[in-house]
Amino acid sequence: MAAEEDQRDQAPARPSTGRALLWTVASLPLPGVAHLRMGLRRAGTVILGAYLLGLAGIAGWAVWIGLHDTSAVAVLASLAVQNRWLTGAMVAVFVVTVLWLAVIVHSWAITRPVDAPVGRRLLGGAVVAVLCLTVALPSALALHGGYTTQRTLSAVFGAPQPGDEPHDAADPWNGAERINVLLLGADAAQNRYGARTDSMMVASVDTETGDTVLIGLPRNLENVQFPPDSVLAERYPAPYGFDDLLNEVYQTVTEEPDVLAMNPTVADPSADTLKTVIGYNIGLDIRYFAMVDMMGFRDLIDAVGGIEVLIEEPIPYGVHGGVLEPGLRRLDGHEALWYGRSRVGSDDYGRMGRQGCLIKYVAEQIDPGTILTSYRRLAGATERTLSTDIPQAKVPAFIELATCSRAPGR
Amino acid sequence: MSTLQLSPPQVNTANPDWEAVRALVADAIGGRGAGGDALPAQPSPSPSPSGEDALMEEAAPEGDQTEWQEYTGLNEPSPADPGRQVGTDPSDLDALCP
Repeated sequence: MAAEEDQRDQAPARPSTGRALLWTVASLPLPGVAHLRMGLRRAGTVILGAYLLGLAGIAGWAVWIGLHDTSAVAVLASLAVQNRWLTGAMVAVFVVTVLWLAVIVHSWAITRPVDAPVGRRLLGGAVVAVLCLTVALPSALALHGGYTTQRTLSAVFGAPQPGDEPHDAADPWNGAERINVLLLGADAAQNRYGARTDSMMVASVDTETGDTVLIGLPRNLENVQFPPDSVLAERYPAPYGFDDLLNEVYQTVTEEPDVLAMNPTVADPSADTLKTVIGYNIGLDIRYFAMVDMMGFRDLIDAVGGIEVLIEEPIPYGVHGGVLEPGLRRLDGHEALWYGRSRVGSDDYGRMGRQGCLIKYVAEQIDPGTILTSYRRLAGATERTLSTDIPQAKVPAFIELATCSRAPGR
Repeated sequence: MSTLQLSPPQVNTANPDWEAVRALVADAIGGRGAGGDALPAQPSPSPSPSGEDALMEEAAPEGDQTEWQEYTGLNEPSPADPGRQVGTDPSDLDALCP
């Protein structure tokens, strides 16, 4: 304080209220200029220097990203799904915000006339409050976004399962050439008993290039085989085997998870078992599953603002005469759901094909930028509807794969 | 992005030959290595040799009929539904989906 007072003794006289406000306003985009104006050179230099250094750091990072031909948004998305980076960013935002607010208030305190009338003091206080809100509101939104993201990630993605190989960020797939993920769409309408996995696809993704093959499994596949050492194989022995369709395996296990599940201790034993059963039948090691229910899919599409689809022929749907008319249309969640669900004038295989198109459209149109900008609605819908056994540690690697697969020709 | 659908005519859903299904899937994924990007844009005109034994029993291809025409007996060369894949080789979704 003594040093500050020494400096202030040689400082210029305090300006008028109007000029003091101008210097305070200027300290919003250029923190520290009011301090320099009032002769507080050390404080002003430190504040302005730190601020400009921070800006230079961000600009340098952006240039580095550009030189390495990486999508900045994809990098941000990858960082945002890692707890340590997210927590670090939230702490940084909070600290920078508090410091910035302190600089603004202090700028006014050192420039305002000490003997100004009450009216001008109130005016000055009001302007400073508005300046503080200009900084505080975006910061509050950013902190809320960080909190929402962290909560959603914790709710949706779990910890690694016992027996999983340790996660290595440098080699997230442990040397595997492909990673296989079972994508499930469940129909759990309130007017029907249980849940049927009417949409089943295995996405086999090349871990180097992101090149993806979607293996579509019709819901009406019969004579499903079970791994020989499983309780399901004992329950449904040859020659009759499983006496229902593939889309009933999930519900069958759900009714007796402690007995029929391959691993009753996981969060969703039915989906985990279905993953193993489908992998056994098609000869793939399926590492993960991701499941949404039909209504949840609708909410997810609505959360990202719909999806653009070129419809060449009218697609009738439902029992009330609904029709998806031809043309290039942006479908909302309800329409997108029916695009992938309608069997009117078609069949199971026809809608299975359309479901594959939906996966393609979503992969093409929902980029990390869309996810970041619609995170609030998306987080709520995701938390309500998505269940998966993908560990949170693998999410950045999946984002990287998705970025690869969006490249032309993939 | 490509797709292989385990649906008719390549797979008999009522009584699938799972060995054949595994062969189809292995071919679909194994064929994505060197040169694997060259996917057929349209359903293949005839069954590929791989997994042939496992396919639904079909009449031999007649002339230049597509598998869809052989399967349905209709004139249209491919299914009307977008995204519907026919044949033992995976098809490019860019070609199947408008």
